[in-house]
Amino acid sequence: MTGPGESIYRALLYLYPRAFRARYEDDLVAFFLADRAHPKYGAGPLRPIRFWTATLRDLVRAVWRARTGRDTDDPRPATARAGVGRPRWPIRADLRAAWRGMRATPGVVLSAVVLLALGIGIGTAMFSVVDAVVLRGLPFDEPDRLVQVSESNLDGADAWPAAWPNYAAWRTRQSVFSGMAASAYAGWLTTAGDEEPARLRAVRLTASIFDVLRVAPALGRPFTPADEVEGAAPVMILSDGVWRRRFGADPDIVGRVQRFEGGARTIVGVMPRGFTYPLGSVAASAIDVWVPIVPTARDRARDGGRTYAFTVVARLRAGVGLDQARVEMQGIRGSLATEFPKWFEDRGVMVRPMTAAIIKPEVRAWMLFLLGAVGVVLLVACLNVANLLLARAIARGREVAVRAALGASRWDLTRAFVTDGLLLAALGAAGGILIALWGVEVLRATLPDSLPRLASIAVDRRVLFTAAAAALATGVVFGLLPAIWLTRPNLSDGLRAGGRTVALAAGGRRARTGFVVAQVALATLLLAGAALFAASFARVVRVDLGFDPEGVVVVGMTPRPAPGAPRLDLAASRAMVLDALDRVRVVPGVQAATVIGAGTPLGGGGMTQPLDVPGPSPVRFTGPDEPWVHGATAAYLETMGATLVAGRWILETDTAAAPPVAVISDEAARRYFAGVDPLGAIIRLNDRDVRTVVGVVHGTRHVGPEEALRPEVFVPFAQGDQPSGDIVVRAAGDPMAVVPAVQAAIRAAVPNATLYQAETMEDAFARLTAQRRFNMLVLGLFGVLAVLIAAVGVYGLMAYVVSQRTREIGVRVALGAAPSGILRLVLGRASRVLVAGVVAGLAGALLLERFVRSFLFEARPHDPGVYAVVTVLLLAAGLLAAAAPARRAARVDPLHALRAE
Amino acid sequence: MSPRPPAPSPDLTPITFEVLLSLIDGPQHGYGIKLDIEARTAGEISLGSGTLYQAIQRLEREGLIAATRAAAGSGDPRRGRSYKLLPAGRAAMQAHLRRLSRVVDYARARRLLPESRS
Repeated sequence: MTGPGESIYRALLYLYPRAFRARYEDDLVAFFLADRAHPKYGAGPLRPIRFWTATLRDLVRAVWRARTGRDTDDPRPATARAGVGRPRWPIRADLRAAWRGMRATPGVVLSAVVLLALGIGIGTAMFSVVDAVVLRGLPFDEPDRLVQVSESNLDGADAWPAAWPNYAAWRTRQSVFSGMAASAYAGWLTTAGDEEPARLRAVRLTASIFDVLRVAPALGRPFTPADEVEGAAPVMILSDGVWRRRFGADPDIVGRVQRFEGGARTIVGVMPRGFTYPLGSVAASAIDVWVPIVPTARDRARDGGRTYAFTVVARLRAGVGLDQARVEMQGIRGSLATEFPKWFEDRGVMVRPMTAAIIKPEVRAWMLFLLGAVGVVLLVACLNVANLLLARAIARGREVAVRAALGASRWDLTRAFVTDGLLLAALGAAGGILIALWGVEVLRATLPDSLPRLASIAVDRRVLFTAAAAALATGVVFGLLPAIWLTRPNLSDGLRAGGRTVALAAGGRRARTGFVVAQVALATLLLAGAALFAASFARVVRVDLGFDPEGVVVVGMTPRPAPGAPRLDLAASRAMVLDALDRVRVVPGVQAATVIGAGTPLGGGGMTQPLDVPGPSPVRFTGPDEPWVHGATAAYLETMGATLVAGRWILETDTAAAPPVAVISDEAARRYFAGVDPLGAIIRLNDRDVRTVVGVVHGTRHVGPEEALRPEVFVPFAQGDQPSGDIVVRAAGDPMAVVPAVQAAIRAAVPNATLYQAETMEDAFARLTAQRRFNMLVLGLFGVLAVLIAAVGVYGLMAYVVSQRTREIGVRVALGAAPSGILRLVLGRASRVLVAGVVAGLAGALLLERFVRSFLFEARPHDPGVYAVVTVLLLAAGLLAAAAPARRAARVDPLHALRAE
Repeated sequence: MSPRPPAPSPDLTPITFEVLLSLIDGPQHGYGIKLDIEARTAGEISLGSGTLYQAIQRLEREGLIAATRAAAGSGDPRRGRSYKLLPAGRAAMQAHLRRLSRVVDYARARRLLPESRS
């Protein structure tokens, strides 16, 4: 019978040299079993620990002695020891030899180190991103106990924020969580007072969040239930960032009152540095202040409208699993559904780990995809190093043979190659870490802001450990590969071949050819990926937005009454905006200006309204058929560069007093009037706003280039129900240059206006396509790098082949072969290698294409154009790399070549 | 110049010497050797399996001891192979002892050790 202890010990015996284990294994095990009864290990629970400590200490020492030849038991100098001759692993001597070898071929070594450093550096930088975004845990205590509780549709497919009454009911009825908390975006708080108004991004929190997340302010106090009562004094907690930027890190900030439009708030605390909540897609630095949620009677009531706005987080009670929590929450939903059937006819409840709720599967997939791509780059770099080591090994074939003949063991020879590989890898890793430190900065600046936890990306110990491990593995594996078959027992062949190392060379050439084919294949794969992404990006950029974003800038504004004056009514507010527009139009450099109400294109906001087409058979359009409704002025077409398709555009004469009109988009005409001329037709917006259609305009992609066209209705700003709008300007030259003058003009018309950060339409477009641009750039970079490395590989291989066959080529030339024939011979061989690699790479790319298709915009399966371009590029690069060795071969002087033997 | 102490045997290390000593009275298996050495040195030298069998390996290679099938005393196969002292091993041990004895005589003469034989 074999106990577990014996099995472990037997396994450990594999650490000994094979000969020793073969002879003494049974004896050692017998010793081990007998020793377990030895009285010196004492009694009690510590006995096995003492026994194993002693056993392992002996094992480690004995293995060390056996492996290094350093016998501490033996007083003689190492060289005098029987059967050893000298230390088993003379590290310093090996390193010296490897360094000497490298200095002999500095160019080749340098290129290998640089390529390896690039591979490791880029790989490490990318890993640090992936690690920070998806791999690392949430920055809270016991993050795996945190769950997000959401409302969902009945089949549990989509998660939505919760309605307040439901959250309140969950919280009082549940018993599986130690705490539950809610949060909701509160938009912007605009400061009031003497200084220039500033906007602070605010989030509303329940007081319970501090217990659930187990966080506390660095200064001051958290929110308390007393802050959540209607009528309580308004308070807020600052983020570390805003405390430093805006309040100069004032240590006595607690208790200060900050005035905002709509009331003042007392600062009661400052959160610690690095804290942010929620962790969702909003950039980590964006939240400035937190304010308590003060539910109103309307929020709490179950009779009024249903507002779903609250993100709910909870901490599982100790000993409660996720499944148990799910069961209980389903039960609570069931009893709520019988009490308030209207609220739950279409609503379920969902409990997810918080990590899964924050790091959405598509982000995770994207990150892992990037990691995979960078892994391929690293692999190509490793193959290149292996190739180099192999070439050097072959060049040293005779030396190897001589050393073997003089009694060097296989272990001695293997060690030399592994030391070579490790030294290269260490140099590569050192360079790679430098590149990683720099690359992380670049990536952080290039990655789209919407990536969760972007701010926490950094090269830390974990990342450096990964880089070191990658380098170590590279060195050992690719040092071992040439060693394994170069030191096969028939080494004396190298001597017998009169120094031409024919036997080694044949196997070496095959292996090198294999490596180069693999490099070309992987480069093809990456380049094909890059081409797919580039084609996808090109399709996105070419999407017809329905307007011309170039030269257009959006200047956001909200009119405000003078201090002490009454609230602005709709007409007064609108008049102020139109007055500001009149002044903006005459600012030098402004070509055209318009007001757009309810969200500008690409701006991320907008308003849809249900639309009815009255008549004998009225039709109502809701849901996805609801149109965007924009307010606009007469200059809209000119400012945005939009095109009128039929009828007329909004005129200056379409005032509040004039008959209500609307211009609809061609998409709206298609959906609502299907082939019938819409001009003169009547539409009703939002059940009350009846208008006559007077024109049809080319539709715009309001949300972004990847969004499907949605119907739109434009109404004269002067006739709509929107009190304000953004001023949009088309400028000659750089649109940002006119912004200060435009803002001054607005302020001259409306002294108390709140002005927002201006953004050009082109910047908005870049923001919307940031992820695609990033993917394209990264994969393009990887592809180019891989092709470069593969080209170096092809060059090296062909140079080697030519040098090996110099004599044969000399004979051919002597027999009358033309230089062009020699050129064809060499290039033909290069083509075979290239074609093999490209075919393998294309096959791989076609197979893997479906995994990346979800990242592509309107992907065409197996796009032949893309693959053709990739094939041509790689063949061209490879043949270019082979050209120099081929020309050298064509110029071989037969006399010289034959004499060289 | 004062007389120098003779160098220890170039062939035997403290551990291999102890192993040879344990085989004087007849063949022993590995664990028996270990216990014997522990008893003789009052626990000062307590060998682990690796250390012991590396010593045994060296002694076997140098032809000083050999494995024997005829286990002395306990015929328990679970105790592992037994080893017996070869004539060359006995000679090496005696040479080593002579050298040690010279060292001891030298040390006594210089009053580095107490006289124990009286």
